Amino acid sequence: MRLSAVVCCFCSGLLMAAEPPNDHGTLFDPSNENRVSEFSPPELFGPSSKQRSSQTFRRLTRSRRSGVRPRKPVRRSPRISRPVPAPLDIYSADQQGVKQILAEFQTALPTTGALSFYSLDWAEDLADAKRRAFSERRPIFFIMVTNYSGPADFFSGHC
Amino acid sequence: MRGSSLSCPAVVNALRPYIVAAWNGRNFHEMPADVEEVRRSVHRLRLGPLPSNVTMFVLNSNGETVTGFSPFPGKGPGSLGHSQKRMGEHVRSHIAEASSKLQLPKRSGANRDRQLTYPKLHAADKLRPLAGVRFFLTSVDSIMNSFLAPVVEVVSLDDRQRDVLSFPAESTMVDARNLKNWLEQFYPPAMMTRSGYVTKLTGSLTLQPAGLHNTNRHAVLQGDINLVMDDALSTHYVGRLAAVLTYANDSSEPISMKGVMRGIFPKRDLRAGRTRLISLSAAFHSLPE
Repeated sequence: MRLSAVVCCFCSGLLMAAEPPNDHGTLFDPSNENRVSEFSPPELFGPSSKQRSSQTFRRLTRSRRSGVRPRKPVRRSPRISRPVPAPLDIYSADQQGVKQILAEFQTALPTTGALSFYSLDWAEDLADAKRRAFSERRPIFFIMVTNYSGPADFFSGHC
Repeated sequence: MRGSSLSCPAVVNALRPYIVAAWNGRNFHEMPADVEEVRRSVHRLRLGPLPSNVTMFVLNSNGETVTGFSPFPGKGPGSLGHSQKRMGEHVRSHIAEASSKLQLPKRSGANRDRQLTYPKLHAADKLRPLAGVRFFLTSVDSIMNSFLAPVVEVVSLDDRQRDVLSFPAESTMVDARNLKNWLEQFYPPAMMTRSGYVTKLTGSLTLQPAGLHNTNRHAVLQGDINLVMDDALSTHYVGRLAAVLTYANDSSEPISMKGVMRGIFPKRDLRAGRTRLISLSAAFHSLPE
């Protein structure tokens, strides 16, 4: 039961572990052993946020120094928001419609910056790259990808 | 990775001296011998286990592997918080280290700055009008950085398809299945389930004469196309197409074509119990330009 108290109450468990051992040299006071059936939520889950005193905060701070650190979550970078294009209209079959469609075409073309992947000096395959590398005395950057599912064309992007 | 580290300006600059090549397949058994030899160099160079399914190698001008590394320190982009900047910096630092081993001049190959290399058109006669179509597909509103780089597909057209697109005397209907090989490129990348291709494509497009411009005639091709993706849920979605075809005054054969296609792909995320709406926008033009 003691163990479950530590494991279940993750935060307070950390606090208890951070506290210096008591006079008995243990983390638990033996006089508390009989309190198994007397556990109440505050004892299980530690003090509520309102009850946490500055003393508790100091204990937590001390625990970090002593090597017990909470795990740092790896944060996802913020999503890059790009405008979602509006649905296409039905265009009139005349010169005005032609102009509108051609304008939509220009808008939908990716920018040179977005296509920078294609500005690299691509060879058709490794054999072609090796031939060129030898004649041009240049090194090769080779990317190897294995995908067990889905289409696999790294160069076109449908991968 | 195409849209993250390999589109990062610092990485693109660091790769200027290099000739770049890629191989992809479903497993190691599909590897050609020369790629397999590079893969085995991981052991020879004692690079240790590389954690992801993507490995980057640097080879010298004699084709000998100098080093290899994973684009992520962990199994995937999550190990760098899906941050384009951090992924770029990770790859750039490895390239810089390899470049210093090779004693490369800093800006060799810089004259290629503005030249873009796209997938090639494989057609019997590449110079005839409408020999093929180049398709730029941009996906928006996705949480994956891989979507940030557009997909570029090139598809050849045959005589039957050019006949279907010949100048109409009046409004006519075109069965979308006749143009399947390039319309089916309208699907988002990085699905990573089943084959990930479009398995079914239906729809009727309207081809209408659209007047004269100088010495040319125009026609407008437009309509909705229903597509079914071979993913875990056989997702149905619709793409709306609008294109302008240009013809000489005295010929019904199309000279060129430019157009757009838009739609929304509903990607069901079973783990998160939600549906992500991926907006697809394509621009396409005929080849040769």
